[in-house]
Amino acid sequence: MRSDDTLGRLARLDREMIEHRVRTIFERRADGDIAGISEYVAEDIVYKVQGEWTIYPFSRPVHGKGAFLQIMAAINVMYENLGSTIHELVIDNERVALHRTSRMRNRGTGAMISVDVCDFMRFRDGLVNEFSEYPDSAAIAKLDGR
Amino acid sequence: MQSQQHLAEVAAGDRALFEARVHQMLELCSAGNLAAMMDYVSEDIVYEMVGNWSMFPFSQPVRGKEAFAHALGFIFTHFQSLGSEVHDIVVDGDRVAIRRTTRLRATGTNREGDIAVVDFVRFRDGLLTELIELVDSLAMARLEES
Repeated sequence: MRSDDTLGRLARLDREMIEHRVRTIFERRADGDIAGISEYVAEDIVYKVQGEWTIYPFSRPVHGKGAFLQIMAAINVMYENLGSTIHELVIDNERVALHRTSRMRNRGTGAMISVDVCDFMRFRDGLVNEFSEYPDSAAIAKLDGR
Repeated sequence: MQSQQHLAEVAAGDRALFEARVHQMLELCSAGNLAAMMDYVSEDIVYEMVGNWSMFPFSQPVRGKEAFAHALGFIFTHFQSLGSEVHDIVVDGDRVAIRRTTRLRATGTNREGDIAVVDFVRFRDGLLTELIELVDSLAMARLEES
């Protein structure tokens, strides 16, 4: 049986690992590094964009790593991510919630805007298996010139 | 020095308190009971709506209990909450992230819709000291379209 001290240290390590992975995922997203993101994604990931998503080409949950990576690539085709600032990062064991502002450029129109986004993620064995995004939909519509 | 077990018990107690507070405040919000909501709010609360909030008259953080009550009163005048479904509560020390879907009715147009909302809150001594809120702004705007 492990001591309380050992369990405490293991919990801190898990937390540091999850925080590092979350930050790396968003850095790689800004770099357009889809292959790099795939290292941290579970085969059975479920990805959802919540809210008024008439603006994106998918309004339903996406199941599976292959489909998720295709969606990441599709978003990258439409929008250039110029980097994110994470304002809040809440880690509760394997669950994560964060608030970030991402600078985004519509590659079609060249319009650029800062968009607030909240993300909820769940990790299993160090990999993301649930990923829900809550973007400021009116800001995205503005970016698209709607 | 407190043992790991004692700290874990304190954390579990805080989690239960925070979750209870979140549900109580959402129920009071749906009941339109602003006065009772204020019982759970600290004097120095900071309230900030992030994202594209051009439709509201406060785009800057609101500071203090009285200003917070005025801001909520303004929102209650324009939107009636018909109940919230909480999907996730993520707790990390005194910080809590909530994602929910709230059924809202715009009082001006009488339109109803399900709105995705994310809240990042912070508690101190059981009272709300910080509330950062991101809503599906485009869906809100559509509720108000005449």
